[in-house]
This record gives sequence, structure tokens and C-alpha cells, in this order.
Amino acid sequence: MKNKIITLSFLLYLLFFAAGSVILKDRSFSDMENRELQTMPNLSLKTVADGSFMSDFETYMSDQVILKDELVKLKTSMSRALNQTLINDVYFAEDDMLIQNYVNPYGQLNINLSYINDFAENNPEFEYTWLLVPNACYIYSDKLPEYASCYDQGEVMAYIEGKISDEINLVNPYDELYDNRDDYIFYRTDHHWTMNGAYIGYTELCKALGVNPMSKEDYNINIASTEFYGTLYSKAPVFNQKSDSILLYENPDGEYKVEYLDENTEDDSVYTYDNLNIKDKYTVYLDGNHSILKITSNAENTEPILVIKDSYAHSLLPLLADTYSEIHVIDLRYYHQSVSEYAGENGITKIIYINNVDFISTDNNFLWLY
Amino acid sequence: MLFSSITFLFGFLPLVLIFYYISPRFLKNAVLLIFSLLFYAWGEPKYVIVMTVSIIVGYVMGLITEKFILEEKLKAAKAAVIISVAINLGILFFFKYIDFFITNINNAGGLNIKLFGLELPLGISFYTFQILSYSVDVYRREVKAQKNIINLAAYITLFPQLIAGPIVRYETVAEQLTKRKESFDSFGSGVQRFVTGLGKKVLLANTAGEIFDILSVLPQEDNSVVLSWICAIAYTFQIYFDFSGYSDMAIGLGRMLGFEFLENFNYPYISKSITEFWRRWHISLSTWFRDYVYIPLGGNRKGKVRTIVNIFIVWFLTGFWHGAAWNFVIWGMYYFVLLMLEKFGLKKILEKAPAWISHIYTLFFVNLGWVIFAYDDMSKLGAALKNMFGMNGLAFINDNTLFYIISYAAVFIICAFASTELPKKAGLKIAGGNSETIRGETLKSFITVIFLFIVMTLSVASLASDSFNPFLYFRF
Repeated sequence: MKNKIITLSFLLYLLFFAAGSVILKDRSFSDMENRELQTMPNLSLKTVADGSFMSDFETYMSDQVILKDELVKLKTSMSRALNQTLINDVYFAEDDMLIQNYVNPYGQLNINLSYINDFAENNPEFEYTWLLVPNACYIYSDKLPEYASCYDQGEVMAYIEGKISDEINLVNPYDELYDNRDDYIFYRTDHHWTMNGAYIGYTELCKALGVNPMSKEDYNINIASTEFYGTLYSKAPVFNQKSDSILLYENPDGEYKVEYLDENTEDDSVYTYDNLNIKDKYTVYLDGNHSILKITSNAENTEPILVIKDSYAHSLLPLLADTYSEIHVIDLRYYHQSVSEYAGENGITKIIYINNVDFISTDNNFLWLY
Repeated sequence: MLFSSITFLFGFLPLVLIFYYISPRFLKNAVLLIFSLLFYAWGEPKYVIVMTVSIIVGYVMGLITEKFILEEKLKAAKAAVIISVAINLGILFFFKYIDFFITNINNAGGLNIKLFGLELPLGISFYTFQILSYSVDVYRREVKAQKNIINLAAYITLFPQLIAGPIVRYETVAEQLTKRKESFDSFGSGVQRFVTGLGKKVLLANTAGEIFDILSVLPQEDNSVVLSWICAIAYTFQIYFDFSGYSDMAIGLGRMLGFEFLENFNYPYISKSITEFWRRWHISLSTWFRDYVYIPLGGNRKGKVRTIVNIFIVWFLTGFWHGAAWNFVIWGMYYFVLLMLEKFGLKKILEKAPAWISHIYTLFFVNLGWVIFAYDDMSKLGAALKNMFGMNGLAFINDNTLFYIISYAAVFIICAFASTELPKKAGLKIAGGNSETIRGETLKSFITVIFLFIVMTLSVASLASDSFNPFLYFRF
């Protein structure tokens, strides 16, 4: 009798997953993993002969399996239960915080620094300021699991200060971020800083540029969502993860025109409220990644500036738009034309880099800085 | 296709079971053959031809051999079996070893002969050995030649054992090919075996393999002596749970289809000597070499010197069978030396020593053996060994080491426990045997089903999250 029960249970199990996965409508995108899923591959002589049908079909089967998201959570939760604290390069730190791992950066970092220095030397007509933001692994290094070995970003910052051209004014907001580390300046589930963190970065940047930052009191600070699960959660999802909140600093007197030049669209707000309904809610700030955009506002300072940035800038730029009335924004990952020509054509005198340390250590698109 | 894939579990397996069980008896082997060819072609369609040639040669020469034997033309029979063996070994040699020989000839003679650059046909070392055993057994009159090519082809290609063993001998399944009986009992025990094997592969071997893959490429400044041992032990666990997990899955799938294969692993890591280890590890391979190489060479019946030479040949070939690279040869020779030492004295000492000493001795050398096995690049092998024995100036222990110990202690403890007979004994005690009452029987069934459900679901979860899932036998 026992073997009869086992046999039938097993067959039911196979039937559930096989039939379930067939009946269930295929998804083309996974919100949770934030990536395209494999859909049914084309069956043809060619795809079979070169093996692409088979390998795509295997991906298809594992991407479209029923209960996929729950299964992925189960896997991570199992590793957690076994006391693993580094999963998919994400640390499970104290206070329910997920922290991106950071490893010895010097290979790519040196390459990137030389691109930035060369550009400054070849284009002395601009003034350069560089806001370089340390990551959560450094600010909360004491919250990392015991004996975790995130590479010391303090050492990396000091190294960059020593290497960087005198033409560039390097701004390191570490001290102020550290002093406010209990004020929810980094997300628990995402690799970005929150708008609280970005506000600190913004005030430090303004100090370096010699302009007055907006005061916190000038803003209505609203919690736009309490259900944000970020990129680190996507990499290492567990069942009981505490979610994040999305903060918006809204200036009641601000008037904006945001031109997304890569898509030829326009918006009258620095926030893309519709994106609060999707999984990657960080894109509420200036609609996420764009190769080039231009923000004009009713700010007093009319000197046009160019910001060359990574995604840490997305939550800072809404604040900077209340200080400068004309901001051009370029993302080197997607903008591959001449930056110096663009700056010249648009009467730019100040170039501001906004980056985080992890990005400058790993990104390989600084070659587009020409 | 891998057993440990969503495609196999929820695509291939349900289909093969449906078609197998709805087919009438006379079609069942044909169904198995078709699905096995599909299974094989999934990874590399063009090599189906190579396997087909091998099967046809084995089939035709088997019939010819038997015909000559019945006509008492023994020399002709011998010629027929030699032709079959030569063609099959020739194919194996060509696809697996030709580039290795060319490379070595090039290096030795400063030549520049072009390499063939062939990909190794999946499972070729396994199915070639099966065909060889069939040919020789027919010649030895231990089995009758198979008249029906579908039956023979179904045996050779039988997907449960096709790509990673066990090396099922024709004599084991000759009768089952035509007269097997499927039943709930064999299916149910097959399910238990299959799910256990899946868990061993996906939950234990893959996790240990992940540790090995991280630690084996760690920069020297992050490494330590202790960590390099952890790395080696991780590989030791990986290869055992991977390989024995595959064998369990093969045996389990076989039972679901009414076949009964022989055991391939018998808790090798509880051995108290290297000799014992090799009686418990990859049994189908060791017995194959014993029956088709060692004994035909004369075994131990031709004096001490010939015995040693014969054992040497067996271990040279065993090493070389595992891959066309020098480290595998060294690995085989390493075991030859250890086995000789045990044969001529060490074994007696070990038998008198306390059990824990014999265990540590065995595990130490087995673990060291796997380090040789793991690196086909000699300079990496040298570096790994130096790291382990503190000759590379590594710290004995560092923070990174402690991090890995904390993160993976639980995994290692589970692996160590699962390497012993204890889980099986506990399982039998809790849910094995027969109960007198229906209630007792139901309870036992319930416990078993829950256990299988958990193992299966955790395995599926691991597979669904695209995590690390290597196949170690591309070299075999």
C-alpha cells in the first residue's frame, strides 16, 4: 500500500507542475526578478541543428514553471535557514537590510579614473565637480554579517583623492551620510540611496559649488509608497522581507519641464508618478534610466550645468532642479556621442559628475567620455 | 538533458511515463528507444550517429560471434569479437583521446600537428563499456546474442543510465529486456530512490560545488590554509553526491520502468582503507575493469610480478578512463601506489589500528586524490596542493575563512551526515518495513510522502532559481 501511495503522490506532483506550467499563461517579463523571461522558442530545423532550440527550451521551462516566484523565494529562504549570509552577492545584514557586496575595485577603477582625468585635461574650459557617494556596505559596515569582507571604500576614496586631477573638485559626503545613518538614507532592499540620502548629497554638492541648497522645510516630504522591493530583493528574495518606502521631496513652488531627449517626450514633473505602480518604484525619480534629458525650472540660478551620472543621481536631480534652472543630464551607459561637443553647443561651463563608488569601480562605459 | 532540470522533471519524464505505460508490451522497448534517443539528441543531435554506429557494430558482431561459436569455429568467433572491440575502442579513442595524444606528441617532438578539436560525445565512455561487455559476454557464452536490434539498442541507450552510469552489464538486464514486470512496488521504491538522488545532486552536490567554484579561484590574499582545505573538502562532497546522486536517479528511474540495476555506490566515505573505498566507489566501473581487464590478463594467478603489473594496468586505465589529461593518469597511479602499499603490509596495520585512525587515513588520501582529480591544469594543481600544505605563504586562517565556516558549517555537517548510513537507517526505522495495522502503514506512507515532497520541492526550487547546476561527466 505504501508504494501505491508514493507512486500516486509522485504522479500527481508531476501532473501538477507539468499541467500547471502548460495551462498557466506565459509571462514575458518577471517583475520580481526584473528581467525578460524566455518565451516558447521557435521550433525549426535550424534551431534544432544548432542546439539553440533545446537550450532556449530549457530556459523556457524553468522561467515559466508554475509558482516560479515562490520557488525562487523558497530557495533563498532555504540558504538563509542554513545560515548563509551572502547570497547572489548580496549580504543579509542587521536590521533586515540587504547590502550589495563590494570587492577589490582597482582594475576597472584605474581605467575609469584615467578617462575622467584625460577628459578634464583635454577640456580645460569646463569647471569640474564630482560628487562620489560611498555605498551602504561602507556606511553600514558594522551591520554586515560577522567576518564579511566588503572591500574598504574608505581606502578606495582616499586612493581616488590621490589619483584624481587637480582640475576636479571631489566631493565626498561620507561624514554627513554617516552622521545621519539612522535617518533611513539607504534602502533596505535596493542598492540606491533614499531621497533622504540624496538630500544630504545635494547639500554637500551645493556647498562645493558655492550655492545655497534648499532647506528641508521648503519641501513637503511625502511617503509615496510603502511597498517597494528593490533590486537587492530581486537578487535574494526571501518570504519575510521588510519592504521599503519611497520618499518624495515635493516643492510646492517648483515649476519644471523635463525633456526626455532620447524619447522626445516631455513631463511637467520631476517625478513619474505612474511608476509607483510598477515593481521598480525607484524609477519614479525622473523615469529611471535615460541616455539624455534636460530639466528646466523656475530656480534662480540660470547658469546651465551638465550632469554626467549614474542612477544615484535620479533621486538627487529633483532637488538640484530647485537650485539650477537648466540642467542637462547624460548617462554614459546609453549616450555614446561626444560629451564635449554637446557641452559646447549648449553653453555649459560647469560639469558635475554624480556617481556611487560601486559604479565607478565596475562600470565600463567611461570610454564614452570624449 | 540532465535529470536535474525542470525540462526533464516536468516535460520529459511525464511524457515518457505516459507513453511507456499506455504502450502494449511489444512496443515498450521501442518507446524506450525512441525517448532515449530524444534524450540523447537533446544535448548533441549529431552524435546520435556515432552511438548508432557503435550499437550496430555491437549487434552485428554479436550475432556473428555467436554463429561461429555454435559452429565451433572458435578462431573466427575470436576474430569477430576482436573486430567489435577494436571498432568500439577505436571510436572511443578517436573522440576522447586523439587530441590528447597529438598535443603530447607535438610537445615532445616540437611538432605542430593540427588538433581535431572534437567535442566529446556525451556518455561515450559509459555506453562503449556496455557494448564491450556485451560483445565479450557473448563470446564467453555468458549471455545469448540479442536477436532483436531494438532490444539491444534500448539496452544501450536506456536513458536512465546513458550519460552518467552506472555501467549496466548486459547480463544484468538481458532477461529484463523481454520479461520485466512493472509494479507499484518497484515504481514506488523507484520514486523514493529517484527523489533521494535528485536531492543529493541538487541540494548537496550543487551547494558544495558552488563553494568549490568560489574558493578554487579565490585571490591568494583572501585565501588561507584552512580555506584551501575547505575548498578541497567541498569538492570531495560535490563529486560524491553528484555521482552517487546520478546513480540513485538512474536506479530509481529504472525501477519506475520495471528495470533493476545493480548498486553503484555503497557509502564510500565510511571506508576504513583505500581498498575498501574502491569496493564501495563506482562499483560498476571497478567490477568492469576487474572482469574485462584484470582477470583476462591473468589476475593474480601468474605470480607476484604479473599481479602487480596487472593491477598497474587496471589503475592506469581507470585513471585515463576518467578523462584525457595527465592529472587523471596521475590520479590513477596515485591509487595504484596506495593500493600496493595496503596490499603489502599497510592493510594489516590499519586493521589493528583504532577505527578513527583508519577513517582519517582513508578520508585524508581520498580527499587528496580528489584535489588531483579536480585540476587538469598542472600549475593550478600544484598551487592548490601548496596552499593546502602551507607552502605558499598563506595565513593559516583569516576572517574570510571564518566567514565561510559560519556560512557553510551547516551544509558541511549535513553532507557529512548524508555520507554515512545513518540517514537510511533512521528512515527505515521511522517509515520502513511493514506495519501490522492499517493505521501504522498509513502513517509510514504519510511520513515518507512528506519527506519526498520536501526534498523534491526544495530541489525544484533550486532548479527554478537558475542556480548553479553543473554536469561533471563531460570528460568521462
